[in-house]
Amino acid sequence: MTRNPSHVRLTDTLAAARMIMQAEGFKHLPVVETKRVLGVITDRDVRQHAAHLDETLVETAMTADPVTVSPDTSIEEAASVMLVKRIGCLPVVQNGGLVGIITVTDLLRALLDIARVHGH
Amino acid sequence: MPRPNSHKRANVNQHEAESGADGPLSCGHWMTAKVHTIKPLDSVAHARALIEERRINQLPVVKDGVLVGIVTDRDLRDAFNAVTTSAHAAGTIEPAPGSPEQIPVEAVMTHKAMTLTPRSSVVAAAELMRRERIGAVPIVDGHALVGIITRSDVLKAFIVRETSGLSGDRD
Repeated sequence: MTRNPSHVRLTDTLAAARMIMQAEGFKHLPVVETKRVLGVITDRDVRQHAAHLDETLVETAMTADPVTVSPDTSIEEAASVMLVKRIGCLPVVQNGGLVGIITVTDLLRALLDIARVHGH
Repeated sequence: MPRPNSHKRANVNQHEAESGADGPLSCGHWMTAKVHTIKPLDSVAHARALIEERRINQLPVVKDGVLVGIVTDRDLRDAFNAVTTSAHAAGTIEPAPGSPEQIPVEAVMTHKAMTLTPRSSVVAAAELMRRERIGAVPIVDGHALVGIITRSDVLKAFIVRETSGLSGDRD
């Protein structure tokens, strides 16, 4: 996972969210207030408001109450959740606070490493 | 971010396991065979509508059944940004020359997409995706597009293999 990932707040604009996504190469950003994860905003959410990025707040475009995992969740379980829910990232939460984010790309990398160890 | 623009059939070395298109770890086994495609002269606006409607991130561009390129949500977004910015500046509302309705997909697509075959292994697909930072690989048989394999498809293959005892048999 990516530790201490960049995030946005409920009252940030989509223009600000998009700027962070483009600058850092992320497609998903957790939405955080006082360490608690309240939502996730994706590049797709941003695109759907493309004409009004400066006036639209993250809160109105995000997915609220996102599925999260803990640092102890297995790679297989995280992958299953992403596949079943058709989502591309999972915030990683510990003691109620955001500690990281894991993406399909992270999981593929981990599984490739496992496959290599097993000689595939 | 740099993207490949001069590749064709991916060089996938030892992982090009020629185990047959139906092998349990082959791309042919895990790919999506029913692929949404678009034509080179279709508009950028049409491509974008299709991507949003189908909740996908890339569209192979096909002419007469032959793969000629691939266009991603990022390509389309960049095209849109350029156009909406200039339209704002000009204060125009009507579709003007250079608007998303008039730009053909071929103007913004990657012309020589990385491809694999149905016999390529999903491990090769995963490595290619990681190395080239791409989200999906068109699967071709000769010149014909026969499917597409995405990160999710590869993830599924890995997970099913892990949970079914490694050998790769998912049945």
